[in-house]
Amino acid sequence: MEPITLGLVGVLCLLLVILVLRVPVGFAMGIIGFVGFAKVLNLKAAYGMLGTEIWNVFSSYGLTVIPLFILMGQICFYSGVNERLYKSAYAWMGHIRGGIAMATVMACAGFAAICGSNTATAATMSTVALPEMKKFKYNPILSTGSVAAGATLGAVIPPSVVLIIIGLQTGESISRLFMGGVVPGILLCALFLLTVYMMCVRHPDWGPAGEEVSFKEKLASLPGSIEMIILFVLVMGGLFAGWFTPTEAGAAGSAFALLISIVSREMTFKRFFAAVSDTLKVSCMIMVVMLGAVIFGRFLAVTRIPFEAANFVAALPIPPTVIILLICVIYIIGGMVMDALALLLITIPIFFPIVSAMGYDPVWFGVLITIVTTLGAITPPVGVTTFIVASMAEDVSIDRVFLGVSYFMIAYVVLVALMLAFPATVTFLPSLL
Amino acid sequence: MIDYLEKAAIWICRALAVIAGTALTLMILLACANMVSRAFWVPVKGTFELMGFLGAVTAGFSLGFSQLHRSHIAVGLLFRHFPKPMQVVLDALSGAVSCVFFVFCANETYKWGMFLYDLEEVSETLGIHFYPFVFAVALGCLSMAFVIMLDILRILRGKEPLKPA
Repeated sequence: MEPITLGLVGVLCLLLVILVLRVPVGFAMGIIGFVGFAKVLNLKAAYGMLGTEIWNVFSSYGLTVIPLFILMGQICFYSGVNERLYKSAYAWMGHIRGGIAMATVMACAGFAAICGSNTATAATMSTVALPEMKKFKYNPILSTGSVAAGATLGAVIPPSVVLIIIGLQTGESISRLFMGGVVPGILLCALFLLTVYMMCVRHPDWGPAGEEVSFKEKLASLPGSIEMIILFVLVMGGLFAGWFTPTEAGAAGSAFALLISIVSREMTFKRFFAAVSDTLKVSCMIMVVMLGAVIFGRFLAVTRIPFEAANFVAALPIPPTVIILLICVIYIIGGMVMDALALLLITIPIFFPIVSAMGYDPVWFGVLITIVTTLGAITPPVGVTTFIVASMAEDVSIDRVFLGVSYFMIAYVVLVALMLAFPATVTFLPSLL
Repeated sequence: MIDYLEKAAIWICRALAVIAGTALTLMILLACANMVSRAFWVPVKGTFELMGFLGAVTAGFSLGFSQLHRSHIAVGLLFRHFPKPMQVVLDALSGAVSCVFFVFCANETYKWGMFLYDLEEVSETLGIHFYPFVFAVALGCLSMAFVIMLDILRILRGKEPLKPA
């Protein structure tokens, strides 16, 4: 069998094993990559590759950034930063129609600026915001939709784990990817706020106004968000100014988050152990997926699929924009059935050379696919964030939550259209570095 | 016998996770010490390679722990539509393949460590022998294979996969 045919068979087998056999994605990529590599070259070469790649991946200085940024988010999560952010946003926006949903989106955006995890944001914001919106008789379509959609900001607004993974896999600068994510993240947040406003204009009874808060109380709520702002400025400012590497930014962020939570008496030994324990589980999961992706990538490389695909697509007589749109459609469909991270790791080795051959900016493409695949976190049938919100809401069916998030999908479509029409939305900030 | 092995697996994975957590904390301390030292004097010698070694211990020693807590992403979109007996067979089969794969991983990493040991390979900046860190990763892979093997035994006995109390 020709190496290219073998590569295509490998990709099909991978999808089959993941979807049918429920084998964890990282394991599946590693196993099929190893077997395929042995088939194309020989078993001895495959064994040699396995031993060295495991050590290379696990001891990579670049990959140490992953547990450090995750720990920063977990420390903030366990010290209740997001609750304080929510209270602060609520004090300023809660009294207007749909204001509590808007405050939820703002709090999600704030937490996303210090934590790259959708699931952590969804779980906490559900606990904090849903009872409040229920108290003010918000329609569950609006309340659950705003929490589920708002939680996805975690993957878009830097520091984002997804952007880190893209940077590590493509060799693109993580700092530039972070900078590229800033404007689209802010735009997406603004579009979500606009969506809430439009929903309340269309259905005034969906989001009644909350209690009026005095100006004094509004001012008093601000310290709750100041720590988040300091942390974000420290991490992003340090990267922007070139004071430290992404790994050091993660370490400094974790240390500072720990310091703040100890000073504010929000951190106990028990909470710290829980934060470290969760960090180990999540970062190990990512490392295994990364290892699988590296092994699978080595297999694809020896079959020459990525290069042949890039040459083939670049020679097609259709405009590059149409190819980009087709890639977006593939990511949207893939995101519906697969975890965003796994989908990116499987497809980047194939699509990245194609996009590079067409002359697109790698940072722009990295941010674009992050946004498109993140949409998968709220679309059926495998919308992880939606499931978390539905399980926390208890009395709201999953169908209602999916209905709620469907309003926010329009915001995603508008953002992608803006990014396609005006690439500078992504490329401007990285160009200043 | 199996109960004893399960208790041992939980104990081993937790002990390795404690070491992994300690390595993670040391990474923060080392990176911060390097930043401060670099700003006022000179960088801490060997930070780059030490971070890599500590990262390897963090990732390697949390492999079994993460498997114990079912942290790995699995999709199985069509899997849930199969009849229960078929699900058991498929689960055991995929578990067996995964277990063998991680045994291979452990063995190849161990062989790589032995190769470095025989060569007396040292790190570039600090000049220290780093094969023990390679063995640590091999041990982590083995703990992963051990937990998966116990999971298969439980699945075949009609029980839920292994979980810490």
